[in-house]
Amino acid sequence: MEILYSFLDNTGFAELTIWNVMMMMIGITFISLAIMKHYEPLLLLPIGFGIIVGNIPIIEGMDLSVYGEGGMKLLETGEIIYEPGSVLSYIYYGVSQGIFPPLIFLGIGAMTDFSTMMSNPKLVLLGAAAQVGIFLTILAALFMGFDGQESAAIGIIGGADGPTAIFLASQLAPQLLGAIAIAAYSYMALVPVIQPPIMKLLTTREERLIRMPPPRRVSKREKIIFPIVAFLLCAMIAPGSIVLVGMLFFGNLMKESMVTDRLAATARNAMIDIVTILLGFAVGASTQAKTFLVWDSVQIFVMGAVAFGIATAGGVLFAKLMNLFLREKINPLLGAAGVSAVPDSARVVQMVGQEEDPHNFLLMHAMAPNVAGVIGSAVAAGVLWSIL
Amino acid sequence: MRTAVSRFGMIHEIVIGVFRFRAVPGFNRIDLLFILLGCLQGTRTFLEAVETIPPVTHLLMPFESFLFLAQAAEKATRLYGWANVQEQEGVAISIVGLSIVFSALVLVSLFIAVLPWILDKLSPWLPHVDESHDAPSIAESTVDDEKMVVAAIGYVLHTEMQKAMEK
Repeated sequence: MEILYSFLDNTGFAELTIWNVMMMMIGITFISLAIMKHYEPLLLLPIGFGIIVGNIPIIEGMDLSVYGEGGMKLLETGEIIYEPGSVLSYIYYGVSQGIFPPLIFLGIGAMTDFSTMMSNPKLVLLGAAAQVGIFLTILAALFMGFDGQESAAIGIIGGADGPTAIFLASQLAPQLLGAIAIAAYSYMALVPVIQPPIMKLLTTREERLIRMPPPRRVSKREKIIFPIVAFLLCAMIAPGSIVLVGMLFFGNLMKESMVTDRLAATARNAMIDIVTILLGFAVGASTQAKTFLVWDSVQIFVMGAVAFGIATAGGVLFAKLMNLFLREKINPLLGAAGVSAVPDSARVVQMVGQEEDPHNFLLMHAMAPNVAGVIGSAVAAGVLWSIL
Repeated sequence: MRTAVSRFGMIHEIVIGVFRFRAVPGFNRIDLLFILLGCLQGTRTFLEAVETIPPVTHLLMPFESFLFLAQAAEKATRLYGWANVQEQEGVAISIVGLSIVFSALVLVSLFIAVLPWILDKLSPWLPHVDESHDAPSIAESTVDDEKMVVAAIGYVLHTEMQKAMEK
């Protein structure tokens, strides 16, 4: 009988709290959104299942969580021993040390076609304008009592770039990493819900009807030279961004050079898939109830939503500002694609534009500020990392 | 809006910290109390205080105790509102950060704009290569090519069949 009691004491049921159950429900909600609504399924499904795994109660003396890092341990006999970490902690190492995000950027670079951006360089500025969401949110976070490093990590949610948010949070505020990652990916999944009302509110029907001229053809030489020079420009201005921007442009050079097709194909397919699985699962598993269900997380979620809204509005308003000086007007909806949720925000621009005019095709043009936003948020992360 | 946690709040955090702290050989609650009082008086930061603890004691001290104390000390000295924005130079960071991002992307934009002109000037040394990024499609092959391929396949089939018959 004692063996039975001992076994029952060591089951998950004995240690389960209402907070663990609540987190598991959040995990199941993520999985449901991924499967039923197709909201960022590649991310929400691993994160959702990771949340469930991370909230199985830990048995005393057997820490299997991502935080079970092991290390030196003092025994009752006075002996000091080395205890290895849990398997999950080694997977989480790629998140906590900022290894996975640059690898994802390598894959993104290998699958990104910058030619739409290069055919209309004006649209790059929309990608810069949308980064205002990051910097205004930093002020809001400071106002709410977070310190400088935490505020920067929270503000980067406004960049709408999951890997960038994880990278910066792991470097500046690892204690907030789980909440920031979940907020960033949640809002990226909700781009089709968050952005359209802001876009419609800030534009008139006439503005939404503006058609963009067809893009010029970009030569192969331009595509090969662009990643090298753009990297040099960004890295010289913001040296802190070399990790993310460097991997992004390296991946793009592998694609455009056409002499490393195998490497580019691996980076944009197998490698990015593997890293996405590990990253999503590890981030989900890091959201244990006792560290995640705190007041700071609620504040981070609120500020994340505000950051997304400001970033969208910033891009749209900057496009309207540019139109004051341009002879050939640009559709201000394109400004909303300045947040770097690739390609969801570009799709939203297409969708909102076609609600007014079904024959207006903005998707290709929206990809220009969209990929510029990826560069912009990586540079912003580098700047914040080096300043703070 | 309060500008800082009250001194009572700090003392409360310290008392909780001391009571929850697990003493280890070479470092007891009294040592801890002195460290936290130093932080309270503003003579040193918590991290500076922790650095004064002998490294051996670092090793023995449970990680959770460190974590809790760090959080308690951090909460005790946390500023809120506009005072925190000023203390952390938030406005300057935001303006400088946004300016740097804009500068980088403006330069990238200018470079893209002048790139065709630069390539045009460099064309004697950097010949124009216009190739498809994808593998050549079937549509690109000419009729003559197809005839030659069919002829080659026919020749190979013919010689293989002859060899088989000779055997």
